[in-house]
Amino acid sequence: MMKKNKSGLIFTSPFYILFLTFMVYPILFSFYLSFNKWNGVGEMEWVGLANYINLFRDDLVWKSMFNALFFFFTYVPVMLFLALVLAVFLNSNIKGRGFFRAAVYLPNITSLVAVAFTFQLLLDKNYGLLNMFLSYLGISSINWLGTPLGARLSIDMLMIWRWLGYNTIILLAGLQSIPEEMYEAAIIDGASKVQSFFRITVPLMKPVLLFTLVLSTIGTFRMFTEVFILTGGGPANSTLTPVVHLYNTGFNWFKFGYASSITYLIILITLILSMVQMKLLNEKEVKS
Amino acid sequence: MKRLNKFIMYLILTLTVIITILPFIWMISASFKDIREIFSYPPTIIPDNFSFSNYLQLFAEYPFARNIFNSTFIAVTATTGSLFFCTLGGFGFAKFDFKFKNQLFLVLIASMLIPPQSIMIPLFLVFKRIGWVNTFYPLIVPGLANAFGIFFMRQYMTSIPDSLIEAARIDGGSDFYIFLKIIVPIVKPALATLGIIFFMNSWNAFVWPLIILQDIELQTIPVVLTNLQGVIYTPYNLIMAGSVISIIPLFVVFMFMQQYFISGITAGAVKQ
Amino acid sequence: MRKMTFIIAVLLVLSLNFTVMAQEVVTVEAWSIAADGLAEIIPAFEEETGIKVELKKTENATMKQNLLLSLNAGTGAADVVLMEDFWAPRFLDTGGFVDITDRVEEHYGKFLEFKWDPIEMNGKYYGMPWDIGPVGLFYRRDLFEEAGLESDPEAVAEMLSTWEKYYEVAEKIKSETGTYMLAYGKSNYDNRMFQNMLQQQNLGYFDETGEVLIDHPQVIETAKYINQLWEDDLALDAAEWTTGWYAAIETGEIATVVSGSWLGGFLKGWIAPEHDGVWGVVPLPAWEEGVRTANNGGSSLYITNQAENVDNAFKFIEYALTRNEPQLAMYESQDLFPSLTSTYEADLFEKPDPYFGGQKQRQTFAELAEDITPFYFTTDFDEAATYVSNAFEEIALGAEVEEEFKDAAEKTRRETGRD
Repeated sequence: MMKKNKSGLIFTSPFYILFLTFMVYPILFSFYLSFNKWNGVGEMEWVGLANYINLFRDDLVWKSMFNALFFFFTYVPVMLFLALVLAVFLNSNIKGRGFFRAAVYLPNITSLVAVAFTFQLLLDKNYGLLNMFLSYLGISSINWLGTPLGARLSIDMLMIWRWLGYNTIILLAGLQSIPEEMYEAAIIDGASKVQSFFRITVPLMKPVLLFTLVLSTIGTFRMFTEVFILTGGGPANSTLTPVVHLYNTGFNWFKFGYASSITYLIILITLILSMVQMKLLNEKEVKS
Repeated sequence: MKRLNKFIMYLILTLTVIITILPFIWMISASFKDIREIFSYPPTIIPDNFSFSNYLQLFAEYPFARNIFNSTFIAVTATTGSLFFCTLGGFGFAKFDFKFKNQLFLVLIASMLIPPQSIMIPLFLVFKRIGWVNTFYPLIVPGLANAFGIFFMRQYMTSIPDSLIEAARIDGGSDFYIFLKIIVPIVKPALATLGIIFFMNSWNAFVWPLIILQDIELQTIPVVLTNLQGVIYTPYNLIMAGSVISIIPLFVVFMFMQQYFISGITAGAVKQ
Repeated sequence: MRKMTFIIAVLLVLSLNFTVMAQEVVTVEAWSIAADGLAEIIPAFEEETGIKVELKKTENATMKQNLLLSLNAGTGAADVVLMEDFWAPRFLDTGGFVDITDRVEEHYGKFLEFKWDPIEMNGKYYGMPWDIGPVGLFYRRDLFEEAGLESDPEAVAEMLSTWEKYYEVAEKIKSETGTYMLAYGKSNYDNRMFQNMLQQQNLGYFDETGEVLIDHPQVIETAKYINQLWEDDLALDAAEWTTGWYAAIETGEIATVVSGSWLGGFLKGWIAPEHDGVWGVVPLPAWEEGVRTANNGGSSLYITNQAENVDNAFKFIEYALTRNEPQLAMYESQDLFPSLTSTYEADLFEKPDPYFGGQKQRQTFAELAEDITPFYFTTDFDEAATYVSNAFEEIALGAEVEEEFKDAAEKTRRETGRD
């Protein structure tokens, strides 16, 4: 059986050393920092709660939160729906399943920087491929990256493109774990394909769907590179995300004190979201 | 009816694949065009003036060879180092009992909830204080023993029968000897999966290299690509050439080790 | 124990030093055209002095970000760096530069005076002036003719002597030819043209003492002028340096461009190389008070306190910036307009430029250069500019000018501690 000696503690200690140095200490340090005004080189100046008060007055903070919610409600449902459709297709008896699966997954292994630059070209108002296709359909050129709604939809497109294959594979794994006999039994009972999809597939897939939902939620609130390169947060801050705002405050304007209070807000929101979702997950597991 | 269903299925799948592949084709095509052709209407898929000059210019005017080396060095070091410490940590949690083990494990899980980007400000200040800005350490050391890797290896190792370890122990092997000689060979498939995840994350990493590496000689490929972007003029032709180079290594690895990528994703799903 | 040896082994591997080795060379970091210009003169400098120069070429936007971070961190910056005037005050504020007041003193009178403003902080000087961008109005002769207007520079300069007249011509050109008078981006634009218009009137986002001017009545009036251009559909929505703007210039969608002298180099180079003889240049229209030019862009060279050998670094900037020959060479090849006034006597300025229909465009700009008044950036220019850009973006979406600018002013005051 398991041995009780120091080895286990020693083997796991590197994690705790790194965790304390590069996570716990910075978090505590930024707590102190959040009560100060500091540009990183001069003297720190104690300002009490001023940074937190400023947080409520800073419309960019709230705008960035709103944007994150917008992305979440627009891209996540569309992507998960498409992923489920693809997964169901790939789970059926078709030829070239391996090829399709590999092809849709490719975007996920590519450098986001490379891809975001490519999307800039594809979405260009004047010379972009997308507007050219739209012009064939009689739609006049859309200023994707220059208008608030266009820029938001551009980010959505990039996110869906990049994460569709990844989620398809997770959902496919879920589908494959449903025993074939359940469907056979349903057919014997006289259920149609559509009926068995809603009676068997959907309920059994709920945990996996929730899992992909959790991942996507966290991903949305951490979003940085997509926005940083594709839109820079504009126009009119319509695509500014919390992390981009944090970056700008810290590394463009060197307001380390104020940025620390934003840090706490982001951590707080992420933790609340994670807990809500974990609770959801646990409830589902108990039920099923 | 059945045939029609099949047809629609293939149609949708093929359309999806085309949309998925199109940006890559566009990237590759643009990397062989000059800037004026990239910005001409209507866009061309096959370049009118096919030329390698973008690639040549990239290496001639910028230290791009050095940037490729940097990316490779960081990714290889980070991957091997992290595999070692995560396997060790996973072994510690899977096969040993020690004080506060459950509480410590909970801390490990909880640490995954904090988004690493959110602490970029204080962590940058820590790196600054210990003189790590403009070095590779921040891109390698903090992730050496990371929570996800340890968790992943622990899950994998719980299925290893204890009797194997006991037998080696009776033969007088130390715990570390058992780790190297018994455990590591058994977990090789898991190492491949985890290694690919680590390599991919490090190779494509952007936020931290952007913050830490200011000297162009020390930068990684993704950072140097954004460095080409100018206020007045952005040489998309060069950026696209650099982008193509940046996606090649993972594409090649993916072709040969596809199943490890897939198992890396689904392993995450199964844990829930 | 074993774990320790392993950690030590790993750390040893890692500790191979990957920072650039300090050598007996001067490292210089600059962006695109400036780097290309310096690359041309470095061989002659190396030959004359025996000092090696290592040039690093980056792009402007990221160099700014990287330099700010490396100054803040105290590591990673080159010995000599190029900084645009509008970033300089904030960067000097990091304390990352060498005070070279004693060394630049003898050169003080050689440059246009306004150019020293961003270089100086608390009475000390940290750099040497390089290029400027005297602002003029570039116009398309062919489109003016098409609208039935005169098109030679003297006549156009007279015809567009005030912004009021400019507006009338804009309406005329629009109704006669259907072309826009200019492009003014509704988004993704840093509003350089607006800044130039303010500089003409001795205004800006801040005054000399650092007070916020964004809600100054004249600033708001100027913003209303731009909004009026949008509302009357006289300005095309295309931000400078975006593809829409290139297209607009190349295909003749706009009749004029307000820009720095260096625009000529870009037009010839790749925006519209085939437009031989199409363009002309005249001074900016005037406001009720103020001059007919401004400054757009321009940079200077500075020595960081990370420099190993300040003497050698200074020798280099002295060579590159205070002598006519290298200055004129870089002006001719890269359109980096000197602020070293002795260069304006050179023959080059007398040369008719075939691209501009034989106009002596360099002379036009040299004359304008002497009129440029200072523009006060302060350490918080970037932040103020962001809020003004946001204000314009909101206005383009229908918000009220006065309200948005008052908001932007208040926000600038609050966020930069000026309230």
